Formats: sequence, C-alpha cells, structure tokens
Amino acid sequence: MSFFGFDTTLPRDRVSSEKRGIFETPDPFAEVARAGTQPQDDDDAIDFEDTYDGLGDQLDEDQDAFNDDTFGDGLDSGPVGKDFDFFGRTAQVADAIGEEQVRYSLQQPKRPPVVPSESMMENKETIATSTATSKPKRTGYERYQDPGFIPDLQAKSSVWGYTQKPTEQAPQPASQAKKMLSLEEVEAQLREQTAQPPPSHAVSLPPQVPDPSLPFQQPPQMPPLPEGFSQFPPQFLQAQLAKGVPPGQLMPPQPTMPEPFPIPTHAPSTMPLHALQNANLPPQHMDPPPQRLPGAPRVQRVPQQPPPPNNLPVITDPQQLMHLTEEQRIAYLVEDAKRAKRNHKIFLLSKGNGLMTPQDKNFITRIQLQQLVAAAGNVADSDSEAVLSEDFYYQVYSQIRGAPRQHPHQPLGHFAQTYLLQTGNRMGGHRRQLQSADNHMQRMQQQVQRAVEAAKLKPKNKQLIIEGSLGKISFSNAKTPKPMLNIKRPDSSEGFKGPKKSHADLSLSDRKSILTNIENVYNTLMEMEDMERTMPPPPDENNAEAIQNHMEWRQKTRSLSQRLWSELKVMEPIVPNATAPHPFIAFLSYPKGKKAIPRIFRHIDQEQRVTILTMIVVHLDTLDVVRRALPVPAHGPPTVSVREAIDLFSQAVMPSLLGYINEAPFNIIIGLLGLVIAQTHVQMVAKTRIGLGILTMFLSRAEIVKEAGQASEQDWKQWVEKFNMLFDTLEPIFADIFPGSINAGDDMYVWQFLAAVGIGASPEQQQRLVIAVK
Amino acid sequence: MADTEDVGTSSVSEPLDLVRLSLDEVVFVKLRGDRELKGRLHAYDSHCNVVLGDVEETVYIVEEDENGEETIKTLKKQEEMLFVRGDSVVLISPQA
Repeated sequence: MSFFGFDTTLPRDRVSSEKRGIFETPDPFAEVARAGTQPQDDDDAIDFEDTYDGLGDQLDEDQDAFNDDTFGDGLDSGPVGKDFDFFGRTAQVADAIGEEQVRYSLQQPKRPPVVPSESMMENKETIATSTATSKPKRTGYERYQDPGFIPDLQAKSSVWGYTQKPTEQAPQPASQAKKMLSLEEVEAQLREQTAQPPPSHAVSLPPQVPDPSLPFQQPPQMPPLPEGFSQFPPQFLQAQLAKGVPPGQLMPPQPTMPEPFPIPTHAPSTMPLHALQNANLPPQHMDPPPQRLPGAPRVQRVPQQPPPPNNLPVITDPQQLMHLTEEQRIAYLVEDAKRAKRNHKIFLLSKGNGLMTPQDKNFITRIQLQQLVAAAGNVADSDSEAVLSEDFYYQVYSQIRGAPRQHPHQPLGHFAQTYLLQTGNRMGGHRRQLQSADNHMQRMQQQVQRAVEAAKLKPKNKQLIIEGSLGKISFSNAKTPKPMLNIKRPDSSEGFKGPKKSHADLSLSDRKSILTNIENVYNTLMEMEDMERTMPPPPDENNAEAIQNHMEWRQKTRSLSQRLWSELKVMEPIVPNATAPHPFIAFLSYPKGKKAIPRIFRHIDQEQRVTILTMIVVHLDTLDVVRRALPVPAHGPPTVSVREAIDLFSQAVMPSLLGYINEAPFNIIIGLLGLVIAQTHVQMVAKTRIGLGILTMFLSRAEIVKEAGQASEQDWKQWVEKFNMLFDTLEPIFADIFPGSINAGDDMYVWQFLAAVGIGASPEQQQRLVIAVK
Repeated sequence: MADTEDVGTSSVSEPLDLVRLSLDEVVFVKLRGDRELKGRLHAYDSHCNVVLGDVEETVYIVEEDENGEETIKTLKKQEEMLFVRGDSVVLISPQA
C-alpha cells in the first residue's frame, strides 16, 4: 500500500503486506513500537476519504485474475485484504500519504507487469509459474488452491516470526521519522529513490513462490538497502539484516542459492524447534535454514532467525534436496522438524528412566496402600491425638456415625471392612515391622484383591454419597449413562408454600427460640463428643492422679449430660390444648432437630430414651411428619418438603426409637400403645407413614416377646385388650391407610403394618382384616 | 471450661450467632452485583463465607433499550452446592 510509509522502498515489505493471508494479522506490537517512536505523526487529523482510494469496494474476491486490469500492477495499490488496519496505518503515515501518491504515479510506468525472474524460475514447478502469472494479486485465499498447503505449519511459524519482530524494529525508528525534512530525512528520501528501481526487479520474485500465502514476517520498516542487494531473495536479506550483518558485508550470491548454510538435515538435532528462535544458538543445532530453499516457502518460517555465520561449513546434502520436487522437499523438511521435536521430547522424558527398581516401585505402592489402610483403621483408635489431628473430621464423623452401630455385628462401611477388618491392622505396628520385605509383594497383592472384592460389593446405586462428604458421586455405565443434566422441576410453588405454612403457625419469637434450643443442644452435644475423645485412660488403682483425672472427667460428663437433657426440654410440662406445640416436638420439626436425635441417643440413658419415646408417642398426631403428611384431598400428594421431612425422620429418628423398642420391656410397649390409643387420633395417625411405622414397631415387638415366651400372662392379657381396641378403631379405615397414589413400592410400609396386625390378630380378626382391606 | 459453658448457655452473644440459628435452614443471601441466593445454609464463618445447598441464584440485569428505558431482567440459576465468598455478601436472612 502506498501509505505504508517506507515500505514502498523495500520489496519484501510490499510483499509482506500484500501477501498477508487471512490468518495473518498485522503484528500489534509493531504498531505500538512505531507509534511510540514517532508521536509527532499522530497529531494530524486524517479524513478517511483522504486515505482510502475506494478500490477496496470494487474488490471481488472471486475474480482476482483481472485485478491487474483494475488496479494497475496490483502490487502497490490493491487492497490488502480484509484485515487491513486502515486507521492504525494511516494515522502513522498521514503526512507521507501525499508524497507517496506523487511517488506512486512516478513509479507506475516503471513497474513492469509481474514476471517471474528467469533465474529464479529455473527450478520451479509449472504450478509456481502459473500461480505467479495468472494470479499476481493476493487475496489470501490462494493458499487453499495450493495442493501442498499445510495450514498448521503456517500457524506455528508465524508465531515464531512475531516473537522476533519487536526486537528488529526497535533500532529503526529513525528511518520512519521524516516529518520535518531534516537532513537525515532528505538523505533518507534520496536513498529511497535510489533504491526504488531495483525493487521493481525484486518485487517480481515473491510471486513465483508457489505458495502465495507465504507469510513473510518482515517488518515493513527495514532500512532501505543499498543498491545491488535487491537481487537477494528478500527474506535472505532481511534475515541477514535482522542479525545485524551490515549490508556491505553481504556479497550478492546467485539468486537461486543465495548462501549455503550449514544444515544438519540428515541429523535431526535434539533441540526443540522453538529453540530455533534463539539467535545465539550454535549453528549445528539449527534446523535447515530456509534461505537455501527459496522454492519451499512454507518451511520458511525459519528465515526469521538469523543465519549462521557465512564461514561455517556448507550443508552436506542441500543439492539432493534441491533435486527433489517441491512437495517432497516440503514433506521432508516437515518430517524432519517433527522428528527433531519428538526426539527431544523423548530425551526429556527419559531422563529419569531406570532410577527406580521394580522393588522400589513395589515399596512405594505398598506405602500408599498402607496409608489407605491406616486411614480406615483408625476408627478403632480414635482417642489418639495424632490420629485426630491428622484426620479430624473423619474421626469425629465416624464416631458420631457409630451411634446406630451399637452392636459390633453391624456391618462397617465397605471401605473400613476392606481395609480394617481383614488386614489385621489392629494387631499393631510391631508385628508389621517383623515382617520381611519379601512379604510386601504378597501383602500388596492381598490388599489389591480385597480392594477388588470391595469394589464388587459396592452398592449398585446410581449415586454414592461418600461418608462425611457433602457431594454425591454418580456412577455411569453403558446401560445407565451418567445424567449430565439434573434439572429439578420447580415444585409448582407448592414446595415452597409447605414449609412456610408450617412456620406460620409458630410466631417468630417461637421459631427463634426453638432454633436457639437446637443450637444449644448441638453445642452441648459437641462438647460431650469432645469429652469422649479426651477421656483419660482407665485409671490405675495405684495412680492417684489418674484416678483424680478420671473422676473429674466423669463429673464433667455428667454435668454435660444433665445440661443436654434440660436443653432438650423433654420434661417441659405438657400443656393440653396449647396453641404452640411442645418444645421438644417443635425441636423435632426442624431437620437439624431430627438429625440430632441419633447423636443424642448415644449420650442418654434408657430412662431418658423411654421418656423421649413417650413424648413422641403422646404427640404423635402433632408431630410435623404426621400432621403435614396427612393426605389432603384438595392438595393432592404431599409436597416435596414434607416427603423429605418424612424420609429424614424415618432415617434419623426411627432407627433410634426402634433400637430402644427392640430392647424395651413388654409393659412399656403396652403402655405406649395405650398412650397412642388414648392420647392421639389413631385413625389420623394410621394414615401416615410415620404413624404406621411406629405402630408396626409396637406390634412386631409384642409379637417377638410373645414368641420368646417372655410375656407374663397378665401382660399379655393387657396387650390383647389394647390390641383389640386398636383393631376396632382402625377397622373402618383399613382401606384408607394406603397412600393416595397406588404406586408399587410406595405402600410397602402399609403392607408391613397389615402383616404385623395380621400376625397378632385372632382368626376372626384376620378375617375381618382381609375383608376390610379388600 | 468456663468459656465453653458460657458459649453453651448464652447462645446469642454476637451477630453471627443469629446466622447460626439458620444453619441447615433455607436462607436468603443478598450479594453484591445485584445477585440473590436462596438456599440451605450448610456452613458459614466469621468472614461470612457461606456454603449453601440447593441454591437458587437470581441475577438482576438492567437493560436499556433504544428509548433509554430501563427494563430489569432476572436470570435464575439452580446450583446443587455453592461456596460464596464472604466479601460479596450483603445480608443473610432466614427465609421465614
């Protein structure tokens, strides 16, 4: 472009701007650097019309063949491409535009149509000629017509080119500053003009290059070359200049083979390709410099880097290469570069090879496995400080989780099972130390085997909730792919109304005080759990201090336990017909209250447990999970929040209650059943899952007691009496206790209850039961 | 021991103790940048960093049309679990 400033003097610059393909954006850094060096240029306001000749509007990208007719020779005036930065470019060379236009008109007649120079053409394929002659104008699309086009190489190479640009430009700002027509500027202009004739010759070189999109990365600001040097292939000259070789030292070489450079093409170096950018590298590490391959422009990203000194040995096989066809050469060079890169990678990776023997590796694996084992095995020694500090949350959690598992027969988690029980880890470390290293392999194999077994045992759930973690892990396999989207349908506004309603019947202060109660309970619970961890070892009778410690500890535990009990407010008086529910029942209406029950049950004695159970039974019909679970015809099935509450209750509270009921004396069961009948609306209770669940617990406990023959005659009589009352009350609604929707699996608990009733019922009652259910 | 007992008995001694009451409850959290969250409070700390579960995030976007009239668009997102850094929290309120 004519308003490029100095670039008209340098053929390669024009070429570079002309040939900029669609993928090669102008170097932004070059612009910045230039702007910084000549701020005076930016002062002039530029009218867009001044700088834009309108030729771009006529550009038809499909019909480049006639661009010459339209735009003259097309090298100076044609539109550059879609990516040309009009504003940025023109702003920097505003003042130069006028003179450029004059000069352009002067140069125009001199410039012959693009004709490839004969000398360069000799070793070119016909493709090259045809491309050059028929399509002298570059649109950036030609590359796609080139059968040998290798896009990825282009991209890579342009990266190299850009990195070097700024450094090349830095020393040359003076050549662009020519506003005031100082002495230097006059000189520069003179030099320009002297240099102009040759360009007409040199300019014709690049088009013969078969790859039209050849991205010459040379900055347009290269100082003008002395005459006579224009016969160099431009990229060669530029490379020399970039390296700082004074132009005077360059002897004009033959155009086809400017200067042979040492190229170890046959021996790929171990240097990574990017290292080629480093101009200071010894030449033997260079990949083939492209200068000697003017016909293979694609590989010529490398021209950016300075050529090695001229006096170094010449490449051994360039001649062979030159005889190859264009494509072959390119392919060869590409292959070569790839190989060098790969070799280097392998070299880097293999540095550490052989450092570890197989035994070492086994040893490491064993240590890792044993750490896994230790993590699981610590459940047993949870009172050790070291263990706690290492894995506090897991220890505390497993301790809390231990609550339901009061019997050692109950299964541990799969993980613990795998690594804790079967490894004999509890045998202590001393045994392990005795074992020789020979056993390591064997043990490792065993452990791996167990891990595999455990994996087989792993529940086939779609989701796994790892103990103590907050998230879920979804499994996937071919049949049930992992759901990528887990969108919950908005519960049609019912899901949010539910809880609001229930909270609405509590005044705000009530709610706050209940929440405060819950937090107090949790505080105390945590303290108690902490106490448990710091429990001193069983006192030695001879050690007075230890006994003293133990006594103090027990004292504290007792006081904490009392505090917990009072904070639970179980013993608050029951106010009949009170509007606000009993504090403990309110406590249970919150999810965190329900979750606290198993933890609380660990710390209270049997009497307190029966009190809690009694409390729950008495208030069975006011319990949120019963009250809100009642099927209301108008509202359809219970809302999500209610279902969640019920699930939580049956997961958290029921097991604790069940654990107690399973050991409770028969008379307590009788009493509790009596309470249910006397104090609550049995028919209402029986329509809910929790209510039925509790009734089922009583009935089956009674059945077990009866079968074990533990029940006294009198107790049994009492029980039958209560049972008959219950049966008579429920008989009319047996058909109604099924959940609203007839859903397979949904009514399991109902059938369980009916079975429990059936077992305890007399034959006559059984008949009535069957009829009622029908 | 005296200290912990104090903590246990007087449950509201500092502002964040009120936040504690909402643990495991659904809370409303207003954030800087016109964002609001509604979700179950799993954890918090003294910086008001919070962890929320089953969160519904609402982003309010003010859009100006050609006439200069501003319309407010709301964008809702659903997250299973969210860690919110405390420096963006404006308020935490129980969703009563």
